[in-house]
Amino acid sequence: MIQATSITKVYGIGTIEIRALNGIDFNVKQGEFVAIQGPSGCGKSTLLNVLSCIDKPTSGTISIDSIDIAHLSDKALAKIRRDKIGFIFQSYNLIPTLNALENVMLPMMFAGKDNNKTSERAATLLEMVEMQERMKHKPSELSGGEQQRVAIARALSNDPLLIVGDEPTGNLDSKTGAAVMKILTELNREGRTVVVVTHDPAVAGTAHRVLQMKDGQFINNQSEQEEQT
Amino acid sequence: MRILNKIRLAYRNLKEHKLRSFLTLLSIAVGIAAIVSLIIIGQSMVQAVGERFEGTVDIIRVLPGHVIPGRDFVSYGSFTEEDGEAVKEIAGVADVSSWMIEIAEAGYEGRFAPVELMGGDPADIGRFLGGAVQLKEGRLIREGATREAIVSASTLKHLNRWLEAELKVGDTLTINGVDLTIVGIMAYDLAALDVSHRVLLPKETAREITQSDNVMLMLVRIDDLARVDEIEDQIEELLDERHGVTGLTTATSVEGLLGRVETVFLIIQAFVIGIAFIALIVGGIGIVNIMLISVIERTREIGIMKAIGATSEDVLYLFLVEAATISLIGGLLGVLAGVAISAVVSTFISGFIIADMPLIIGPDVLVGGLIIALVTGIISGLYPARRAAKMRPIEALRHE
Repeated sequence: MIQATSITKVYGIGTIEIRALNGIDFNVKQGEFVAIQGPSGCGKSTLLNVLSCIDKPTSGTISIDSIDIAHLSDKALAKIRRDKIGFIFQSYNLIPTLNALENVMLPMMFAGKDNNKTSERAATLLEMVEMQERMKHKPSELSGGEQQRVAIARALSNDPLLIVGDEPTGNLDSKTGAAVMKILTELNREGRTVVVVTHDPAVAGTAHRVLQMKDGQFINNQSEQEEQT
Repeated sequence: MRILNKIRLAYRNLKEHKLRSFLTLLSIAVGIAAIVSLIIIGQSMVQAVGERFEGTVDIIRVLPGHVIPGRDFVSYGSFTEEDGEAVKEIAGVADVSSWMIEIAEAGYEGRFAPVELMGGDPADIGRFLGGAVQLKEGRLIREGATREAIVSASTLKHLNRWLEAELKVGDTLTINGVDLTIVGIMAYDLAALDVSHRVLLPKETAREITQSDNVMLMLVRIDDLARVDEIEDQIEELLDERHGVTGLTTATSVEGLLGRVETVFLIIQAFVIGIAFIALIVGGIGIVNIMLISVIERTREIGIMKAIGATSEDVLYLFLVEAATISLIGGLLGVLAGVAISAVVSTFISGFIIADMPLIIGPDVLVGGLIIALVTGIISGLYPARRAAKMRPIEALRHE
């Protein structure tokens, strides 16, 4: 699903250089559930952004679903984000002016899909995350856990193979966080590849692999950690 | 992304900032209202004036003296009936009608009012004054009748003020002991002939009242409009010669007058529409300003949309549609307001300047107003929308 080789990401080119990613190699198989842990500033979010085509690496090669994304145009990257990746943010990032249903419809709107079908699918997805009662509510009228469930439904709207979560339970209490993790686990069982960055020890239990990061690199090399699982 | 969804999202954002959106669209509406109303009023006025002169474009008016337009008339006397016969000999002249014009006092129930008598052959009224004589009430003077007169609506008002009366068709005025019955009321003054307060009556009656024979106005019908200037010159030369003067006889045509009226209208319209366009530019700058603020405010939102798969074009069109929606709603309000303003102004004009001015509201003006608004919006939205589209998702997402 993901093959990333020698990825570096350097910020602040000029006087001070910060190497957020330091020649990292990272492979994820189809259907895997991978958790990444590490102290803040270790580069895990940067890695996730690069993997999900939100950010571009300074060097290295990445292929997602066998597509080499290193040389793709911005437009092509947007389409990969839209069709192949479902991104779940720590702070939910719903559009405040749109209600839950419309937020879930949005990626399908960008894909130019038929309106009747999109609203139908959005409703089904919201039902799946048990938000069917609150479809017409705006984000400001929803609790954090509810917003995150809407965000998960949105991430699923274009039926992506890869779900990427950046601390998806980071802003939630442990009970709601556990419910959100449960949804992610179920999605993984359905065959979707899941990569999450998390501090949550409970996630480590459900993931197939837990990788530790420090200073823009995995602590042990990845293949070694793979063997442990 | 489908256009309907873009409009839907744009509408949501505009609704989120109701007052701001309203004020922005108001500035567009003002500009469009000004343009639309000015064009409607201008077209209607030109049309109304044109209708009044209809049937008189081929008429040359000849006066025995020098006219300084709007200021003075220096007369050298009067024409004679023989002068008319001589003018008729000029090539291109089809017919000549001579008129007496004299000041007199009209009496009614012991009160008096100054009037200007305009005496001519009753048959000539329709033939030479044409569309200028549009009867509001009553009829024209019968052929052979000697005790009949017609007046304009404003002359009637003038008479009523002086005579403290409520004159109407069928009432009788006494002028120098001669009783004249008002048989018709014209909707308009004979504006092409400069003065109002005129009483139109048969020439014989005018002679009887004034005891004179003086022809003060000649109306000359020509059969070759293309030669109108040349014929005017020939008439002036001929009559100057017959009266032993130089450069005093004045011959003017309605066509020239109409042309001047239209030119004045065009100049006024161009000037005021210029101001309206400035208003529109100001409105457009308002849109640029508001959209730029909106783009900055929604940086994070733009980042989210890009992160979940919006392409730069998606974002570009989203903001463009938003600008277009503001301006189109503004345009719609502006067009409606423009029509309303024209209606109000037209009732004023009908009351004071031109009686009964029907509004000409063409679909081209309405659609044109909307298109101008839309184009203004799209042009104004272009820069802010491009700025939004160019944002990098990762940087936009970090924006708080």
